[in-house]
Amino acid sequence: MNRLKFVYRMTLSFSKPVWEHYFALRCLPQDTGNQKILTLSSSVTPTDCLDEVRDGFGNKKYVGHCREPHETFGYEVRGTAEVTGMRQMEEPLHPMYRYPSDYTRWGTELEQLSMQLGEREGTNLAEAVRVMGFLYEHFPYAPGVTDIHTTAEEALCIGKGVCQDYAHIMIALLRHRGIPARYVNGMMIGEGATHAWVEIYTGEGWYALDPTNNLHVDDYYIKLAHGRDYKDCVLDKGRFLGDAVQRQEVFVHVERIEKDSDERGNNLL
Amino acid sequence: MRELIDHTEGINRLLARYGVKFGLYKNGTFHEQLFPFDAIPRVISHEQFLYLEKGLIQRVNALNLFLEDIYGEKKIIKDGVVPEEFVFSSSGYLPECEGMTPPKKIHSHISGIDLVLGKDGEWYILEDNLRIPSGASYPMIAREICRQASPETFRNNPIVDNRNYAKMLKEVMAYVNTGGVPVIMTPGRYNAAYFEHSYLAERTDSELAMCTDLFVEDNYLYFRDYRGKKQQVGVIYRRISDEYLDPMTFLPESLIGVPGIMDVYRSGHVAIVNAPGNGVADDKGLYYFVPKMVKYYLGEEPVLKNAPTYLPFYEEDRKYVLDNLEKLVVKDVAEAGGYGVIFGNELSREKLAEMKHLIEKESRRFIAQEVIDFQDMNIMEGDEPVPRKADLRAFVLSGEETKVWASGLTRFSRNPDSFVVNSSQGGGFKDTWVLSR
Repeated sequence: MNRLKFVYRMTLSFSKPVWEHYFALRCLPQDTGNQKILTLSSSVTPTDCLDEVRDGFGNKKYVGHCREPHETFGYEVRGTAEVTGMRQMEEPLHPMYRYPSDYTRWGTELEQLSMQLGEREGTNLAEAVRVMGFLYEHFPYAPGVTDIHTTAEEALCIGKGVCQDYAHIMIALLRHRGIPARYVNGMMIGEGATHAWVEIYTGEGWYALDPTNNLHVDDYYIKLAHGRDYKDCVLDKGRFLGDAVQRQEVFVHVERIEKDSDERGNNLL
Repeated sequence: MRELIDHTEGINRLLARYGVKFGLYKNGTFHEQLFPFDAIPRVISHEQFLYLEKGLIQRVNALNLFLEDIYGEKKIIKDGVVPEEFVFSSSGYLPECEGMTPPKKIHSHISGIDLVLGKDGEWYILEDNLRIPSGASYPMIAREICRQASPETFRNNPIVDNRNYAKMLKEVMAYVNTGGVPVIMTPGRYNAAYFEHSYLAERTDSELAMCTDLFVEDNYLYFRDYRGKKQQVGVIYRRISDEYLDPMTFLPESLIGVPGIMDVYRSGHVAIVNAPGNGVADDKGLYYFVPKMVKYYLGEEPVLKNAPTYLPFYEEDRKYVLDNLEKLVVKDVAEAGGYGVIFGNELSREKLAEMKHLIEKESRRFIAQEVIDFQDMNIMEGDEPVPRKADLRAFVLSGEETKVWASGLTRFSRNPDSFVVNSSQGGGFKDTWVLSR
């Protein structure tokens, strides 16, 4: 078990002012079987109104808008969490996670990869770990060759990709093998961008695997949102008026709180 | 009735003046075409209407219960009555509606149920339309003009007045209203049913709003009227499909829709007529299961029959379909409006083999039905009555009670060899008379 301190900041800069800006942000971590959010503070600027709602997948969502012209928009979420990894989360299975979704639709490239993988073996978890290892071997990591619109099948055509692509391909393969799987957005220890991984249904609960790193998700990860694929749990979605070019900057920092640097001075042992 | 037929040309001219048109997208461009009216009405006897009414109310009630169940407890799946893949891999299923109940638990407020009368004298349900069934205003306005053309026809025959549709709709909207003004939302005039949107707004005392007249603030929906005054909206009869409803939830690149409306709806702050997510119940694949839903939810025998339907998904049915394809009609479950309907008897030998292969490969994608030999109805072609295929869209409204509108849209095919009567495939329409005794 780890105590983690996290900061997640997103800033949009527009080349010209934009207005009538509507947004939906899934940037709020919540308690799951594996993480307990101890402290949480957030700010969104600029905004005329801000509401916290829940979507159909169970994620927390900030929705609101800013009507007046503005050249920057952003949010910051910080907090601390107590995280346990490599453990099943008890949560009933929704049948939608068994079936192909837009980004995980089956195709000839997936079919080929699946043939190479051969027959499914063992339990859901054992098979998922085997698929993850196989994918990690056969699909090199390369930033910049795929984008947020790339589907699992397309990523395989390109032959390399990033965490989003690893997750989509793994989900497509697993669902095809009868293993329910879902897409997870979140943060990982260290500094960088947000990360994506996979949760599989073992038969009793959900278990998280990180195919980009070929790792079981341990207590260095914080989950933000989940869905059938990327499209269901986009972290920030916006629509505005104005003829501007936008530049996005994402900053994520997650660190372990050592006993002596624990903000609240609690004894962690 | 003779008088009406003599007035056909004049009635059609008036309909054109009123703007009774049907818009179509063909090969990427928008065409507006007249929806030709034929003066010979479909006449439904009083007894027959009582029978239809009973069956339609039962069917729509079961469909509403199904929708409530699917987005809630999912009992029908747990009990093995409907296989889950038909529900959760349907493009009409919206996870964004999971775990929520619309105001007054009504999902399908306006249901357009398409039926045909077989040569055997039986009515068969062809499909259920629970998303945004259009067409009610065509017979409404045609009746008005017919009444002007020949008032004596309506004085001398016991025809139930159909001018109450807007009143029925208004009652439904008032019943589910969460507190605010009623609004009818249209994507604008380049829409197949724009004529109807404006007509209904006028008749239901609702505001006719374009998407840009509506906005969300603090998780409530507001309408800005022409003076710039802002009013809270309690019920919205939207005439745009689910995927365009909210760019923040569905298609972000969509220019129509109201950003944030889904969150307002999920929070229970507005009623949407019809509710989003209904597509899962009128999916052509789910159609097969509707009689089972009637038994499951209501414990009753279904009054109205489905056309005999086979699901290639089930091995036994698949075998039958592959052996008898040349006499069946195959429907692609993902397509609507008469698109994706294939008649086995019209396929060449190669196409037949191709179709069989496709059915084997993608068995979940298709349903197959016996071709129902339905009764012809006469239409006037010049001075000659000629027989044509026709169907009936009945409108069922669900508010405090479920009611069937004593009229309906009778559509006919102008092509003597065609069984497809959808208005998007270039047919015409007739008035539908329900007799009061």
